[in-house]
Amino acid sequence: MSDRRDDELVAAWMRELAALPVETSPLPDPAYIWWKAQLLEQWEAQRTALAPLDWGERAQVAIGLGGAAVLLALSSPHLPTIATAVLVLTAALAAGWWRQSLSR
Amino acid sequence: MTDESSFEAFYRQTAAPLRAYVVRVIGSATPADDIVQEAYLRLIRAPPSIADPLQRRAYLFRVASNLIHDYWRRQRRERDAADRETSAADTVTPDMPLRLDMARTFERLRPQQRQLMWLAYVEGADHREIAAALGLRERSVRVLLHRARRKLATLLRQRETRSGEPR
Repeated sequence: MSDRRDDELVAAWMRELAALPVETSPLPDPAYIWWKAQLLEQWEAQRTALAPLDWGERAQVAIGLGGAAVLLALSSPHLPTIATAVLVLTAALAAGWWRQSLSR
Repeated sequence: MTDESSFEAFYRQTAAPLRAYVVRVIGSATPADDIVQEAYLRLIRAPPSIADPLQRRAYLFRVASNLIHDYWRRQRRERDAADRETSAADTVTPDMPLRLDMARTFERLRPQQRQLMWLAYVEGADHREIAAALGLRERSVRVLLHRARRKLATLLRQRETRSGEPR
């Protein structure tokens, strides 16, 4: 069978396929899609606006934890080993929280 | 696409053909509706600086094509299962409803072949437009389209032989 015959056969069949109705739910209203796009834009704008606050919050926690650790170390120069372990654990937890909050 | 009324007019012209394209190419209606909606959302949120409605329509189909590829990537495993199911459906019986029969025949093409064939024969896109929509080179489109056409012709001939009534 020639390419031309193939082309005619396929073209006719594709026209037939395209003419078949697609069985799906009705198309959403364009006003709904427009509204949804505006809503997504607003959320994006809010997220961008709040980003510095999130950073500030993280910095506050980090400074607080660091300060507490320094004060504890200064007030008790001969801290027992357990206190050091608590400090290390706290620092590790804070670092983990920091990384998790960054990945959000 | 900066105001609602122009979007609405564009949507009314393009939504049905776009959905038909996506449904026929991915072979499933529910994800197709999500893809169509996402394509329009992207168009509204990042409107291209294109004034010509035909070019804007081509751009919309390009966005949808990219979303289809994303969908396929996510659904690779499920798609493989579906392809196996489609292969099992090779034994199309003559009394199968026409619509299902045609849809299944089309689904026996590879996904990219379905995109090529739809864009070429239904959307009437030329090789350059198809290349832009599918991220291919124009020369590759010529070759791939030729192969897709030959494969579909073979499938149709097999179908005619099985049903015994040429269309």
